[in-house]
Amino acid sequence: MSSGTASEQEKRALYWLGERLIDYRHPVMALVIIVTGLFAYWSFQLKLQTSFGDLLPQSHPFVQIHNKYAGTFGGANNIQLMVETTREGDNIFTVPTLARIYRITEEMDRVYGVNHNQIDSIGHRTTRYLKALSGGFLRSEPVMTGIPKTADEAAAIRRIVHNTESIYGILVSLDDRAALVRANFIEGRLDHRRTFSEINERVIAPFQDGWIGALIKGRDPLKPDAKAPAVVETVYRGTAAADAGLKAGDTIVSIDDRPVADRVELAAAIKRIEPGTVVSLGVKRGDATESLKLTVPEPDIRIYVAGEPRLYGFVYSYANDIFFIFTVTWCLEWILRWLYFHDWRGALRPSLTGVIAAFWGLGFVHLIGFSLDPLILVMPFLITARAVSHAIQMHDRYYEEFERHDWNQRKAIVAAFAELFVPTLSGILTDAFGVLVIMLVPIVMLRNLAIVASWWILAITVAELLLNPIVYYYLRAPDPDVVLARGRGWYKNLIDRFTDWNLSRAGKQVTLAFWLVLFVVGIYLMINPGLVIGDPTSASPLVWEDSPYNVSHAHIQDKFGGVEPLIVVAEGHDRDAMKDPQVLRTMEKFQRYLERDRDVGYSFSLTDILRAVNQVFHELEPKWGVIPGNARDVAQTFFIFFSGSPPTETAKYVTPDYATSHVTFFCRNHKGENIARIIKRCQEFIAAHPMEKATFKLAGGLVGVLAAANEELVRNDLLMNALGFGTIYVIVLFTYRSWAAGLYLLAPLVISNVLINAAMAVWGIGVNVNTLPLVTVGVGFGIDYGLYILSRIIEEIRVNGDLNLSIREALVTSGKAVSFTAICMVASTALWSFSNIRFDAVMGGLLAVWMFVSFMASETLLPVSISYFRPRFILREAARAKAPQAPVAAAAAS
Amino acid sequence: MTIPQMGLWESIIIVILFSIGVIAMDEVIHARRRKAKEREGGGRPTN
Repeated sequence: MSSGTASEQEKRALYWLGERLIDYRHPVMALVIIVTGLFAYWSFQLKLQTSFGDLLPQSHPFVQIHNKYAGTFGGANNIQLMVETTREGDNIFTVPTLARIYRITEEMDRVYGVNHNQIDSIGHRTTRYLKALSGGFLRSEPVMTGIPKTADEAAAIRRIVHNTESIYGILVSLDDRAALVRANFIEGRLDHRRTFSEINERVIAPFQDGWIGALIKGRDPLKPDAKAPAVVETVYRGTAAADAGLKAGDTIVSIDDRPVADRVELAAAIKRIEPGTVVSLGVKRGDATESLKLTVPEPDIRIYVAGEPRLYGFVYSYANDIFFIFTVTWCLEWILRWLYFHDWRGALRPSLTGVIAAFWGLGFVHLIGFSLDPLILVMPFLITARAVSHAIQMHDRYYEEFERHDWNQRKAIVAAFAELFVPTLSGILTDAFGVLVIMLVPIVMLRNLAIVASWWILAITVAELLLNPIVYYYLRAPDPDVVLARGRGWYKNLIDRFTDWNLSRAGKQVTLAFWLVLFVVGIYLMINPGLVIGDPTSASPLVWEDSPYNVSHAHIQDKFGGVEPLIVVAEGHDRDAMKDPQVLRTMEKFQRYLERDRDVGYSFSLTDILRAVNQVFHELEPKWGVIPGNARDVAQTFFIFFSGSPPTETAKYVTPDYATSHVTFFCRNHKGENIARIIKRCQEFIAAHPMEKATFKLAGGLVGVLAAANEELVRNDLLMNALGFGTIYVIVLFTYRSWAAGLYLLAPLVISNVLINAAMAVWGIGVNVNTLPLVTVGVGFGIDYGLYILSRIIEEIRVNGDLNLSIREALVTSGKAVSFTAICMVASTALWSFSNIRFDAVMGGLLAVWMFVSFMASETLLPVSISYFRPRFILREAARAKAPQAPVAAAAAS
Repeated sequence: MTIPQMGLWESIIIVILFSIGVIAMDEVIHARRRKAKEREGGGRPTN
């Protein structure tokens, strides 16, 4: 154990600072409490929110095209809702099912944020077919102008669907058992929580689990505040409602004597009851109220919903997981710290640091107008865990100094503060500046995150270095028994034994061989199977594979071939460019070319409408299903189809001046490698097929913007890693004034980084906008373990002059505290593995493994390599041990 | 996989109560030890 004499002289200024902080404790404490109070207030104003635009690299040409045309041709925020009949032999062309599809479409049109002109469904006004009228006239009309009343009307709709190329197989499945409702949402009005609950309550529940066989009137959209009781509009034959004796005009007022105010409440109540259960319906018929017995039916349709807004809705619905995980983590950490320190002060003090840093961090997020994304909730936990780790180191050192200074509390406080100031501050700085390299990626969310995380980490200094001596001053000193107990027990024995073995000749050889083998294996796995950029599977990695979202997504993909849009814009050089047959034929050729890709389900463009209209115009002769040969015929064909529609409806196909249109490819998945391949094929086709009057521009839709994000990530991933390590190296260089120190400290980090990348490759975790910041933070966080151990080795060698003795002393003192902080870090991040949000669970698990590997490498490889190579920057400090010591500068304190 | 749902304030109340519980338990344990030592008439140095 160090005598402290040499160290005190060396760190005279820090000892002085520690003393002054205690002397001026009142103003310092008042200032910190006031500012922390303000940040705490702002913390509670914070909102959980995802801004879709912030997730995109706005400077990328794909995203610029996406931004330019998302309002007209559709963006990346699509919802796909599939209605499928569940009964064997049924199809959707029955009166009750078509009525529900119509109403579902209506309700979807009323969901907050939906673009009313970008809804595709056989029940929507913008989905039209060409109707031949007497006298040879043709007119485009909506497929459904209202709810069908009879079986004949339903059969007529079926005929229309079967004869319309742009609907059959696209909005209605080829087996007639499913219909698709596609809706695009305006990016600026996305409210994931609201969209999620509105779709659940108004679009799904009344027509699936809450369906009783009768159409119930909903709220009048023009009178949203007016009461809308559950009035029966139509009762269908052979249904539970008909069997119960419900009649049109009845008002359902209660279920089993519990009042229901409207259709939404009625559906929610029915949904909660097991099918087959008999319930009592309170029905108001005229002035009288009657009670009817209703047997709750099995749902005869299933509704599946997918798309980005829905996915984020699920993620938000799981976001409250954080409170349970926080509670369990807090309690577990308190127990662990109490067991380690044998004292409640050891449990409390790190919590204070964590809470203060969290308030400063969260308050800052609100103050600068950012919000928290539910997908990066692991990050605050990780930073708080790091803050707690620093505090544990400090607390452990305080007890050590308390014993060394003969139970003098003030001396112990100042000594612990001064001795740990350098490793703590350099640890915080490497973490904070290491995170800042995330700003390299031109994605707003990542830049915001880098600023916030960096600030939050820097805020640890407030509690750890500014407030810490004052808190200890006010906390009653622990019983000496408690302090002495730390030097006994199985944990201490385990650390002692492991250290002795690790520093033995055999231990050193095994340690070096072990890490070398792991490093080689890690490099091999990084190359084969290799890291995936983007999403590694067709299912969303944000939620679990068997989650309702992924089940729905897979089901819709199976039925309709592909639902994830890639929009390629055909930008005309002048008005009427889209009437040029050469442009149109190239668009058609483009469709056929890309449809050959195994992950492109189908495609749609203006040419599909043109060919269909031309065919109808020529009495449905298949040979006329072609693009007309000259611009005049093309214009005439467009006129037939679009003349009855307002520009707001036609704009989703072509701009009103016919200058620009699009080809939309519906892809089967958004796996990173598939996106890259599809985009490459697009670029090859575009290069080989130049057009005179227009140019193809990539790319909008979900697949387009993901391609842009993936390209930026590939471009910046290596650079970020290099800069992250570079930043750490520079800070270590200044801390220890040695070129070699950085190499010793970075070696464990490089190995951890390789192993984590290998784990990501093996477990199929892709590098994307969400994983990148967490992985980058991990690079910096691993360094702290090494800093504490190295600083202690230098401190010890200044006293005893012997390298191996100093390494041993450092490992059984600071190394012991490091091992305990590693346990706490691993425990707090590993608990995320239980999250319903798969992404958070996987990242929590991955970071836990990362922290463990970094700790093991710092605890074993770092001391062994120092012992082997005997670096000069440490040995030069041994000279001070032999030099005569000046009396302790007691003046430093007084 | 499902984990119990909990609100912000529920969570805050639980962690505060838990922490107070740990502190109280610790004080009781140490008070008993001190008393036991005093009865034995020995003890380690105190500050």
